[in-house]
Amino acid sequence: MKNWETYGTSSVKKEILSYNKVPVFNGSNTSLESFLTSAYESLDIQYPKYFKMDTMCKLAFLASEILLKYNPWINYLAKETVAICTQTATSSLVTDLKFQQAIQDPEAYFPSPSVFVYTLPNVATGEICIRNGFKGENLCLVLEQFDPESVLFQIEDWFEEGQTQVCLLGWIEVSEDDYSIEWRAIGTCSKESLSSNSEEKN
Amino acid sequence: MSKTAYIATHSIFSPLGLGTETTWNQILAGESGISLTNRTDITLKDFYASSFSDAQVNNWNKALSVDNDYTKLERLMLTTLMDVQAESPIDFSSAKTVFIISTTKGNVDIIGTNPKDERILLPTMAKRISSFFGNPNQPYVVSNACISGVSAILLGKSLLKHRKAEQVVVCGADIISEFTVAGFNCLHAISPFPCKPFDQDRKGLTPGEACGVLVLVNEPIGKIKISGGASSNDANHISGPSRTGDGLAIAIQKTLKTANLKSTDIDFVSTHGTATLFNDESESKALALTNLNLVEANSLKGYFGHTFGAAGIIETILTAKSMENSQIMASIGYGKHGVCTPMNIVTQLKSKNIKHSLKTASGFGSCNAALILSAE
Repeated sequence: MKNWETYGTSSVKKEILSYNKVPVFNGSNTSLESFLTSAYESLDIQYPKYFKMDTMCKLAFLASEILLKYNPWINYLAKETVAICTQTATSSLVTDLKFQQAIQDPEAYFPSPSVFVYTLPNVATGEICIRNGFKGENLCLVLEQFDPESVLFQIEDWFEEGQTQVCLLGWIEVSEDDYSIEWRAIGTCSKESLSSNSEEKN
Repeated sequence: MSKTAYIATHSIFSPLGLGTETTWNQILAGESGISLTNRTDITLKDFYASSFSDAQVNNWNKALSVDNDYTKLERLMLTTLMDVQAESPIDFSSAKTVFIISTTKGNVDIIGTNPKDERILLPTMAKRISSFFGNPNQPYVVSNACISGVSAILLGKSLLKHRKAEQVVVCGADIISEFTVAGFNCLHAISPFPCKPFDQDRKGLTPGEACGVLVLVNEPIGKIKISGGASSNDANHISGPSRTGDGLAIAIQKTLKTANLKSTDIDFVSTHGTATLFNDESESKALALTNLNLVEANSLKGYFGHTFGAAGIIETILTAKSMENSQIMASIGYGKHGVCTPMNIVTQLKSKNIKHSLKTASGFGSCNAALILSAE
């Protein structure tokens, strides 16, 4: 039984960063590299760790920042009650290939720890938890396509157990030639409790 | 409506042998899968690992007799799954059976020869496994670093609770590859001797390869059930655990609450215990934060090495076996206590009636997970 509601969605596709399907930063007609920098600058934040991340984490991070910018109350919840559940098809393959390249040729063998640590699909979740202090449930699934229905029952269990208030449910898909990031914030906080949260903030 | 997942059947396949019973007997005999390994396909230098020997691989390839198209990892999974199927009435081809594959790197060993090979994609690999048994459902793949196995079991429990399946086949596996050995080497995380969980002289993990298969059902066929579980994030560092253990402590506290139990109800802890300096220190602190550090505990990494996507499943299976046999296995590699918090590491096979056990796990990406097994 559905025991939650959706508070907002965000996405990055084709160099356009959107909230609730409305573009908030348009970097189209630029390269992905320059988009990753200009989109970060548009957020007007100081977070140097961003520049250490791989492309998958950067893209997931940008869209999560937009989602949370429009839903600042999520950062006022008890940190252990904010969960992140992600899905991806290609996993960390782009960074895997980069790491493999560094060990492929014995003559030019140079594996880098800073690349290796990004060769797992759940590290993007880790980065977002570190950024926001979120300490709730984590689950990372690898599926052919974004399929929220395939995991909603698990998230509903987390809500029902009473130890999770909000879940950021995301699709984090980055392949060699394309990418698509989507986040939705869902949860059990009622509208009334949301307004009292934002009052506390003010 | 039943809210509990029962363990119906299981199997383990590692360098110690095929089958839970074989594995259990090897452990009782004090055998370890870890040895100084010469894997020229991976690195020119010998290293300590729990690795299948060439002879073992040849043997299981012969016994399996499937076409050449199946990779080493897939053959490992198929062999273990067929062992489960041979001994149980569970119908893998049923529409009411759902497969969950737990792996960190899947077929990463073929990435160097053909980066475009479809089998590198985890959903493709998972489908090759479930279709082999004629299963019509889309398999799940959980790839959540070293908590994958525990997370996969908890997802299975949720699938059963919501009647999305009548039986869930949780299959976890990873193999030792050039990729992972190079990675952990450059992090200086591989131990120069067989890993020594919680020991003062520990110097890192020992890589392992294995598969664990656990079948969960709604009906109380078995005596052991998954009575609760949860995950968490340290929000601390992507490749190092929290210094305080607070993240894993959150997962343990939530797990106790989902099982409706208190710390004092827990009779045994099957730790993650990788033998890296930071993991073991952090884990012992998490256990202290939850008043569990003095409960009898072991780490099985001394027998299997760290088997990544398989670890949580293999350790859950052997915890269930411990509960059935009222015996706690010795934690090998442990001599001098080497973490700040006092612990109760079992160093010799010990008899104990176990009603509730806690299984913990932590991984890259700052993640943690725990589950509780209870005996009926």
